[in-house]
Amino acid sequence: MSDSPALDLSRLCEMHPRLPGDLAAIMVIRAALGLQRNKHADGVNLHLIVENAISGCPLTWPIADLGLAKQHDNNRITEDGAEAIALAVAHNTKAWQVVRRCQSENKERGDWVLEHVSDGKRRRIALEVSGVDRGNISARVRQKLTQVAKSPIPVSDRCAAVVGFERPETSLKTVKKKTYGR
Amino acid sequence: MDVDTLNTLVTSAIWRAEQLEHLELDAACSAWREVSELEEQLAKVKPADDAEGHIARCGAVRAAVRANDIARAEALSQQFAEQGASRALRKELRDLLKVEANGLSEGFPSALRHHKPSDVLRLARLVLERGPFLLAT
Repeated sequence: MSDSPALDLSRLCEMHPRLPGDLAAIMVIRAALGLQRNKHADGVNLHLIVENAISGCPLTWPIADLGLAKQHDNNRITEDGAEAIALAVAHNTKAWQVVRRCQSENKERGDWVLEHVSDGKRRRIALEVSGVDRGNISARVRQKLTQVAKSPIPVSDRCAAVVGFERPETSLKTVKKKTYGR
Repeated sequence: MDVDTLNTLVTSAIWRAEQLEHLELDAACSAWREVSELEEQLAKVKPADDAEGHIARCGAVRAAVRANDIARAEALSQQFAEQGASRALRKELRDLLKVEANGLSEGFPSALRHHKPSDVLRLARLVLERGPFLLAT
């Protein structure tokens, strides 16, 4: 069931003006490859779990040539594709915009720093993203929330987004503040 | 350069460096060096107590470590510590260098007791490149 306007991945750069165009383009191509190799067609319903609210929306993307999938690393198709979908969901559901990417290693666990501007106030959010090509995403969501909770970056909120390509689905959740740094 | 442009450039540079590192290509080192330089530029325009300033300072040091430029990582870490970094940030910067030193101590435990990690790494590299007899020269 789709109850929201379509999420169009071809508009990723408009959603996030600080996202470099060449990077956005390859992320979207990899998202398309990840979706199409799971037999999904343009306009498929994307199952959304944002915090505790469940909804859905049609997901559209520029069709990719599956014959070119061999030019891409399999894991990168899942991980980079997940980032394209997660960033689009973060923009559509929370009005967040990319500030910058972070080095994902050791303690700096947020993959992205995003911002939310409201009433002249700027809030920054660390977002950890992960992709699952096949199977359930709930265990990965718990794992990523634990990881991002330990981030030492002094931001307002820490969130995790996990994209499952099989269903397809996206879960976007915020870490409860009392669990920070544990 | 304004902050938005620097953020866009560092995003591109990190992504490229990660892809090169994933493919285990030598070019990853120079890509991480570029990341470190962009993070340093960001650190100049964002204060240390700001989230982006914090990320930039840690990022500059971490990227230098990933570029195998330990001397630069140590110099940046010291510079940031002297320029009003919080206790938490100073500890984080020290920890970044400690990770590298721990890796070195497995291979060169005795040398690390007497020399700085950057000196040990420089000598280790020379030994690997030119053989053990260079030390006698």
